[in-house]
Amino acid sequence: MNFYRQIASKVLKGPVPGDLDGGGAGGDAGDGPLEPSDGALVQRCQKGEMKAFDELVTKHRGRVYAMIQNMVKNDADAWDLSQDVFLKVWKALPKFEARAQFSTWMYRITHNVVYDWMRKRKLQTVGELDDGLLDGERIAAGARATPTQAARPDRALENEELRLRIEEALEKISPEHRETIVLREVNGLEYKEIAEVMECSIGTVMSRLFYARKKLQTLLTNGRES
Amino acid sequence: MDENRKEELLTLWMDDGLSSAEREELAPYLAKHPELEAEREEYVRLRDELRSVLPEHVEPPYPEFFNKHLMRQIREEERMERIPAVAEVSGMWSWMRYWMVPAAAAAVVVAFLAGKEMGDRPAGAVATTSGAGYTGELAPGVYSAISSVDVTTWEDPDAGSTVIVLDGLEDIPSSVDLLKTTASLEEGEGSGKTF
Repeated sequence: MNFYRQIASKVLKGPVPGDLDGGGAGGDAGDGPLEPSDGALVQRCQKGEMKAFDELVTKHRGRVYAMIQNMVKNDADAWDLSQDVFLKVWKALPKFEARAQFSTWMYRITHNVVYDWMRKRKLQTVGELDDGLLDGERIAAGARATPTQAARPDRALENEELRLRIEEALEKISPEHRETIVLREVNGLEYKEIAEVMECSIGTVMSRLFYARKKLQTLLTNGRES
Repeated sequence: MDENRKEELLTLWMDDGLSSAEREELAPYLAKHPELEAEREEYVRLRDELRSVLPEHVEPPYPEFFNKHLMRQIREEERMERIPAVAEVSGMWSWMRYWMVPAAAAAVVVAFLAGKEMGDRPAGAVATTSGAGYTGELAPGVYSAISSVDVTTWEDPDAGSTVIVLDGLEDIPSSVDLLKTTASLEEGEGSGKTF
């Protein structure tokens, strides 16, 4: 029975991306030895403790903001949408069940907020989604674009070029493919968790990953050649 | 091999997540497509690049303000939710509606009449009127050099404000360009001219 569970779990979840590097990215991200767990913070929040919610926000705002920024490519919008995410998290917390993993649940809310925003934006500017939303020129100067430490100028330039090439390629694939890649490769989510976040089947996740990777590789290879 | 199954197995293979049975299942396909091995290696490199340029964690700009703004929004939302809730509570107070409406109307009428009565002489304000010369103790330094002009000041110490009304001034001709006049006055000040 246990053996079956292990096999089933491996197929359903897939390896955690960090494991490939010997890292490991599972569990509640960011739980340090002195940091209270998400579960404990959530319980305190459910009792109406605002201070606990403040801690929860501090702990997760970086992940939510990074994920949104990777999707919308605009600092100001990412900031506002991150606020919306946590407002929704606060409102939905009383209904959150401790059995679920908080970070997956939070990513799901983030996914919904971003897609609602994209839909509204698409309605407002019909046909401009690709030009406006996915225009590399609109990338706002944000923390990610700014080197966090002094690097050798040639190395910094190489990194900047690489970042631009990757972001350009990511902008050319569909939002679903981009999100799947980001959740898997950047956030380190398992197939099952991605399926929960994106409200689709594990098969769909694997298929999206398959095609997204192929497209990304093709775009980057073509870009390098040209 | 069915297309969906192939995608699943190749995805797992890319992620180094195949079981030995699955590896066996995929082996013939990989043997037919040797180029896939190079693609896989290329993707592993791409994955590292992705992780290096797209961080998992980026602090939003002004992180402290981020939390404060959020908490304020939450308080505001909760306050807005309480307002209809208060209206709902009316149950035991609903009978009050019947006498509160005429009482509120009467209060408005009384307030209007009182305001009208006090309008000419605002409470707390001291009015002083004069022709040429000082206007009085409460507004020293306000005077008119033209005898036909009356100066009235309204001073409200509680509000810390004073209103000065000059009555009897001639209308400003429409030919006067106020902007130009102001500019030339400022220029004159700069060059030491007197007007």
